[in-house]
Amino acid sequence: MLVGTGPLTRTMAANAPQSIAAFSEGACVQIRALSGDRQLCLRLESMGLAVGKEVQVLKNSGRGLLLKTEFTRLAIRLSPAFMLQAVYAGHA
Amino acid sequence: MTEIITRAFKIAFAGNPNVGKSALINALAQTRLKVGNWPGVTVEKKEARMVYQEQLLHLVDLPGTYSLSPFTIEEQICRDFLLVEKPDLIVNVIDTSNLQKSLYLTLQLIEMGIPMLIALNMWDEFEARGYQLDIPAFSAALGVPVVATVGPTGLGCEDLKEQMLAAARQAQVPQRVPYPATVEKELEHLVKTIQRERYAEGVPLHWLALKLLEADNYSLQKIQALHGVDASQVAASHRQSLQSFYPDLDQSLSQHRQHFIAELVARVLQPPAEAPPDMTDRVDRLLLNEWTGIPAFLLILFGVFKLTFDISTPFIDWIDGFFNGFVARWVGLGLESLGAPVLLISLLQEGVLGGAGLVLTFVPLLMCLYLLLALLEESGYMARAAFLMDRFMYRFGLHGKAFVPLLVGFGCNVPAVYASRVLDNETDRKMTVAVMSFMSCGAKLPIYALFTAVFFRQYQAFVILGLYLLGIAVAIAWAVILRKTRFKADIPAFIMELPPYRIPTLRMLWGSIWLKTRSFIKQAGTVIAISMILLWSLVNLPYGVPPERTVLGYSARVMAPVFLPQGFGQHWEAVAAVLPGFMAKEMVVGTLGVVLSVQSEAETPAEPGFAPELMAQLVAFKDAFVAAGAAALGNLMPTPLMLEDDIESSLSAAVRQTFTPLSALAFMVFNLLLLSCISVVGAVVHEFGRQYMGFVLLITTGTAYVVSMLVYQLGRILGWS
Ligand SMILES: Nc1nc2c(ncn2[C@@H]2O[C@H](COP(=O)(O)OP(=O)(O)O)[C@@H](O)[C@H]2O)c(=O)[nH]1
Ligand SMILES: [Mg+2]
Repeated sequence: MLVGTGPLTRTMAANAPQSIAAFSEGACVQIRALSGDRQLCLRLESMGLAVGKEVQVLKNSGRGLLLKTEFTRLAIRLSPAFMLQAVYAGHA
Repeated sequence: MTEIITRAFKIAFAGNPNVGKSALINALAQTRLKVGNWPGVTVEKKEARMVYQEQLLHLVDLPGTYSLSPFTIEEQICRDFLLVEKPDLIVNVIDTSNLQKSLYLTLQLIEMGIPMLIALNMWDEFEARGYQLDIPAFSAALGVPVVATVGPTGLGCEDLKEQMLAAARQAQVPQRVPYPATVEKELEHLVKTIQRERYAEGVPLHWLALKLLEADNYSLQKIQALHGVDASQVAASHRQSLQSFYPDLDQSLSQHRQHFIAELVARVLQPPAEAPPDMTDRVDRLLLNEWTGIPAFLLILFGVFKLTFDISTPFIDWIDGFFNGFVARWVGLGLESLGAPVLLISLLQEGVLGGAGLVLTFVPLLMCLYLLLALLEESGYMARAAFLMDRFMYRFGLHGKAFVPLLVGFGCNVPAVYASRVLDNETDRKMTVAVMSFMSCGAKLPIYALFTAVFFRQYQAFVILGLYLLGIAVAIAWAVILRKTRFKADIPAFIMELPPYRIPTLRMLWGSIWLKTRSFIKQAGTVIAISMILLWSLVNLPYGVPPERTVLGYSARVMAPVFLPQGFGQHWEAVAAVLPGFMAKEMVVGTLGVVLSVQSEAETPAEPGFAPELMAQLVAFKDAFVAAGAAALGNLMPTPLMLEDDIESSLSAAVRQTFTPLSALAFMVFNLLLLSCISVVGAVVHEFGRQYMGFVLLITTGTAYVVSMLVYQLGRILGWS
């Protein structure tokens, strides 16, 4: 039996939270979880990257990201210290 | 102006970085606080005063923060101010287009239990984007008065003044957003404990209870320090009893707040049917692009340096001529006619006026640099440059934001030390400053100009460029070394807000240039002027003896053997120029001129006369403008650095006899890597203390000595001379 190829599993897989780095430029995503270093997470949250917020990926060069939420642009260098997970929510 | 002041109020302006707090205060109080389209412009709190309806209002411009959790310097300053100084009113300035983000801080401010008012700033941009906001509903939901404002034009400021005064007078504390009932219950218990134990002396009760519940380290430490009690025990049981409802309490509290914010924003904010295109995104597509981003960056950087030097050169020449040729001459003539002693005339002419002239010659250079940097800041590009550079600098153990102080360091190291405050933590700041001190500052340029003109005429530009690159290479090497040794730590995550592109206004540009220039004249002015007088004494005392028997000549002869490995220790004159160079690199060339007994012949014009000479100076001033304009618009290559012909002939001949091309190179390298001047020493002490200053002094001097020796010795092995 083929597992995980049906349309339902595919949508579910597509909507399982992934690291923000997995999304291509232009994607709109919704933030699902912030984890890791507490201080960093609070920082990100205070700068607008809160759980539930819709975010547009403007640039993604693997480590360096440029995100936009409301009219705020945030440049981020990913580090092992924190995880930013999101689900796909459409394309701009 | 006499005004009857009946009462004074202290009003703190708090908000996210770059939302227009300073611009708003400037509009209210007609002040000139520094404004910039770049987060981190206001790193210290600043104050302005205004009188409104017979009341004195102290407006305090707090540094921008995203929250009150005290992780960064700005957050600490902000939080301490609110806790300790207890302002009568907080004006929470908000960028209306980023309502949801801004409200995160707003909720925290409300919890401080201080009367509050919200300024919906950047209202113009908000409206232009087609959004609408139900202000009465918004104000009612938070229980805080709300005013829409536009800082730079002053729109809404009259209303704001009125509301500020009313709110400060009424002193009504806003209602904080309630937490779920279970949490509120525990909070109540905690409040009782805190009251009983009197932990909350001078601190809002509810706020402290919440901090204890959140296990906020900073508050715990404060209580420990004040009362000698480990308050984490007090809160622990409350945390535990909540844990059954909320396994991750911190997250649940923060989700609760976020939920409140999202719900409120959805209710009061009406987005446009169709979002208008965003200019910033379009420009970024070019300037942050993989392929065009870096070339554009290099081009912009090149433009900044070219324009700085091209525009300022004519003015520098003019000031030089004006002071040394005109003012000093007439003061000298005046004193002579009064029968003043020669020693005094010499001190005034060469020491005092020479010093003042020297300080002033830097003013055009710095003003140009400040203008262009302000343009970069104001337009929003500076933040992008930091983002672009992060990828590259990260490899060498530096943070992307360190790019700004490094860039500023090329102009002058003193403001660069202060610019290091854009970095969040002390380790990074210290490291950046150590590395920055290898950036060749503007004051070292005259040294290169003189020596390259004498010895490397054909490749002058390349040699100078090579020196700058050598400085950068040494800086990178030190960055790597320091990151592996003294500052062993992970380079912190890079998180930075990129502001939207904005067109800078002339008024703002001028404001920021003037502010920086004034503080340069004040700070550097005193230091350089005093050093010049000191230098004059070293060079001239005991009075009347030949140069080698003066204090300076004597010390130079004693020190000379130290510089034998660098190839310029054979001549005490070269060493004599190095010594005052420790105080300020501006003095190296001047000292060389003095100790090599160069007479400048240009000082006696053919037909003396005060009025015609003054006229000539005015004409020359006008010509400087024309030349600067032509330089700015004209040729694309930097103008070659030429020396005035009169000094050229005598000084360069003397220099040629004292140095060989190779020892000249070693001499330049030595000065390149040495700490710029005594003002930098002052700035580093001010920021990091004496001990760290000693460290910086040690590595710069040591590196300068070793590298210049290597240059000379390697050159000799290669058969140069
Ligand atoms: N369009 C617009 N720009 C503003 C407004 N207020 C401030 N600015 C600009 O926003 C930038 C940041 O201003 P500043 O006062 O330095 O912000 P601060 O960091 O909060 O003190 C500057 O470029 C200002 O010119 C406003 O109401 N409307
Ligand atoms: Mg400011």
